[in-house]
Amino acid sequence: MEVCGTHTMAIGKAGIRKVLPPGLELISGPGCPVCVTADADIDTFIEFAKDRQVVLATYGDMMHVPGSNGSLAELKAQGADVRVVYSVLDALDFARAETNREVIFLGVGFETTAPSTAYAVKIARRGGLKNFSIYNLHKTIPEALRALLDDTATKIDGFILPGHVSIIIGEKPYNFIAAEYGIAGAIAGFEPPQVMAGILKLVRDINKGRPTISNLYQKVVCPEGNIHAQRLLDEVFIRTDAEWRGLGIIPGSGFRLKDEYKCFDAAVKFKIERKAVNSSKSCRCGEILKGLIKPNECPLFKKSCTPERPVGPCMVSSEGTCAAYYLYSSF
Amino acid sequence: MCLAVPAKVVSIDNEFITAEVDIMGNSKRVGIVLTPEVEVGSWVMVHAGQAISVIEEEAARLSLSAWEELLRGEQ
Repeated sequence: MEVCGTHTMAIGKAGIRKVLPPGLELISGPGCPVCVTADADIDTFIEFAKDRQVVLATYGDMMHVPGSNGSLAELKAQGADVRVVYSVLDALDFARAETNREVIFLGVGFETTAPSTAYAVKIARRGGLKNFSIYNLHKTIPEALRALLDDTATKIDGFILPGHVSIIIGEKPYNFIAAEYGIAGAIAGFEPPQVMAGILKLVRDINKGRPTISNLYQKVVCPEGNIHAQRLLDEVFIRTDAEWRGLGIIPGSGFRLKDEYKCFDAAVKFKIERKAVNSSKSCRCGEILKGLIKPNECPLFKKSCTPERPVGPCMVSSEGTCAAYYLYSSF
Repeated sequence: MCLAVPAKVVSIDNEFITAEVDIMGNSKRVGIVLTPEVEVGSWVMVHAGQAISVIEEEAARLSLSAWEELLRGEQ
């Protein structure tokens, strides 16, 4: 399984699936933050944006994700103040410049992105910013991999591990994959030869019956990860359970603001109830995220669900599995 | 979403813990709180407005060539 959505896109673009020998199959995993965001969270942040006092700042990927009643893009067209930002620091600038507005930042992303949000909250506290908060949807990859391995329906023999998440967390958090589950893992870069090297390493490990966790992206990923980022995460957040689309609630896979930073938690500040969503959509993103089915096994794929009119988030995100399969359709 | 782009550090602002970087010919201000060891002339990987890793020039050039190929494919 290639865990990371950026790997999925790189594999699709390079046509790697087409050159693999019989018996070797690449399954796309849950490494797309937009895709794994739960319906209940999508509906909650859309509620935030309906408040005319609120500026909702978000990374662009989240704009077109459909909730139960529309997307942020649709809400923006109706006059809501939803702004796409490149960095959480842009959202901080909005809060400083418009003190009569409430700026909420959508904290979406894995360990690669979470330290930037932690830093912004720290800066906001230091600067006494009262009109800035975050809706924290950051999630962690190793816990999701454990959930996948614990799921008896999945059939994974090895993981191509995400290169940029690994920049932050290093190698050690993956060791349980080999030690406890006997499954191989390879941290790989994103160019086609680097992905191929990852596949080769996994195949050799599996054939030898000696699964290891190897780092094939050493020029970018230090074994210990980015210590400064890890400290920042520990300083601002504590681990909590988080709901993932398709994978359900995964223990310890989310971040919650520590008590001293609680006033920056939009969920606490605005008291919008997070309601469970009974999705009646026939979208099968959940199963796709676990690698149980391929996009073309979903009845909506390329029919009622396209990048122009996505039904589920796996088709919305530029690195969603369905978007990748759609774009590189000769997979 | 976990995309990271290689960039070369042009100048450093220690007061605001930021750096001016060159990303494929574009000038951008990025945070360097996660990479305090960075120096002018260093190569870094930039993600969501923060430099998240200091890398060797060789790794940066390899990644840049992949980016250029990707961008060419979209034209």
